[in-house]
Amino acid sequence: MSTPRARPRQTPFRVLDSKPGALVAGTAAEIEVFTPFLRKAGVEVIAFTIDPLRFDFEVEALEGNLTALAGGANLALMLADVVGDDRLPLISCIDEALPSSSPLLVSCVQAGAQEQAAICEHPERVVGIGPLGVLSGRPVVEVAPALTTSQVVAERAKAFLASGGLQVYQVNDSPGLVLARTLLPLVNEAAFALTEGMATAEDVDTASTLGAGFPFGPLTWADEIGIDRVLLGLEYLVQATYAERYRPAPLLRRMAQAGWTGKASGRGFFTYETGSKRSR
Amino acid sequence: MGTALAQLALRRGHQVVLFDQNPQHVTEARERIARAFESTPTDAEHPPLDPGSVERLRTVSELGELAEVEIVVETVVDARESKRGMLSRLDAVCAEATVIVTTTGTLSITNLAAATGHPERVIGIHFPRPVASVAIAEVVSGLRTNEATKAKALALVSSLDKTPIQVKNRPGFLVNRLANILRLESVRLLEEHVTDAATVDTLLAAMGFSPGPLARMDALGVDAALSVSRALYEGNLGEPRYQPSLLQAEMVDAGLHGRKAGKGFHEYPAR
Repeated sequence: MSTPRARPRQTPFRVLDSKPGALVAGTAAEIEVFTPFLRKAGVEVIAFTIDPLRFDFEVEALEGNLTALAGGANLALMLADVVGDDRLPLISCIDEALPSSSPLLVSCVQAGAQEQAAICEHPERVVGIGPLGVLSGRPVVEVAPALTTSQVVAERAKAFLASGGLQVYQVNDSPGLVLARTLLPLVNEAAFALTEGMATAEDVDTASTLGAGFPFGPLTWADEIGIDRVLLGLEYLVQATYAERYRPAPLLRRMAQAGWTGKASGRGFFTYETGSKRSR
Repeated sequence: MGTALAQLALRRGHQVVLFDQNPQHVTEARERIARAFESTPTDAEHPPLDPGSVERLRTVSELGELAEVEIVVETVVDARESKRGMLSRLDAVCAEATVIVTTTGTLSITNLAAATGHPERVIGIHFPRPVASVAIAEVVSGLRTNEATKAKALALVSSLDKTPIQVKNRPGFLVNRLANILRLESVRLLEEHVTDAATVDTLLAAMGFSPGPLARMDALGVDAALSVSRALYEGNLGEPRYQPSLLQAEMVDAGLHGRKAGKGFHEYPAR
């Protein structure tokens, strides 16, 4: 029996001969958030949409699609934080299809830059990025070269992201980089507090914003970036550091299993109707 | 903290008795409060002050003078033995009807209340700093605190124009529990040489955590942050999520206490 995999879906974006293209692989929401920055950087976006809820594609079919899409791309951006075990095979497919001179930028929320570079035929062109800033609506991106990343590629990746209007911060390749490493444990702590009945979800967020001076409540933020992303990110921190402190609150797993992944699904720590928030 | 709370209570129309066992300290506090009332600018957000405000303040240096107050708020240093000692003394002098509030940000209210003979009238209120501008306060009942006590504490917080947030008695309550996790992870990034202090702060400030968790810790005091961290670790009986940072402890040993010391995670040249 074959392993279940995410179903790829081609999108209407096409490569224009006159413009360099950037292949972006991820969920529709991830691609949408990154697209304005990529357009500003002067590239045509070649979207490769992955639906994390449908796990039935074959690698052969994927390779056919990707070769057509990535063949002429000058750069590839692999987001897809929420596809779980399918992440590495997807990267491997992109690496095979993408011209060897094109940088491959990979999200480091769910795997390290080196781990992702190691499965590629061209590890020197693989660079890690931290996408949580962009995904939360802030023009901020982390860049983490792996040990095997060529310096030229790292510089090209940084210059490319900066030309898209992003503030670029280079950090060392380490589990979760800076943003996932600091913000996911914050969500986790809030989820534990909620589980222990310390306060209501609203009060947890109010104590965070008005009491601790945070810019957003951790539970509201988790709903926005997705409970599934938070859970996979925490699981990766545990696995990569062997540190028990990142152990995800069981509530997060139950919510992900229930499909309560946050704003996108209409329900997370809060419930959402046409964009407005209600407590659950 | 005590002076700031007294000032707030006077502004909101309360009769206030300010106690410090050192008579000179209460005199100084009274002068500070009087000056603050004279110099506070008047605008839409700060309506004109009642000129009689300071006259509603009584300063005392004998604990017995607090016998008949309706509600007493202790603000001694946030350390278990100091808090327990003060609560026990207050319990001995205050009338039966007096509610006793402790202002800890980290310690167990149940444990502190047990230092008195009347734990049912003891409750915790955590006023996050700066007291004058933070719009909420955490109200925390101990296991034996009664409903009447809780109602009075909630009413007190509301009367100070703050929103009370009712929180269960768990180490660090909500505010310190969450702030501590962010501080610990930020310091670990330095311990593991992921990046430097400037990058941690600039990156998180760009996310809205202005001025950055390390600069914030410098402002709070690295020593104060370590105390919170230790209290949470002990209060949670050694749960790994709260394990204090070695770097933080070493900085405290070295006197790098943050802004007040001129150096912490960042440097603060003397002005």
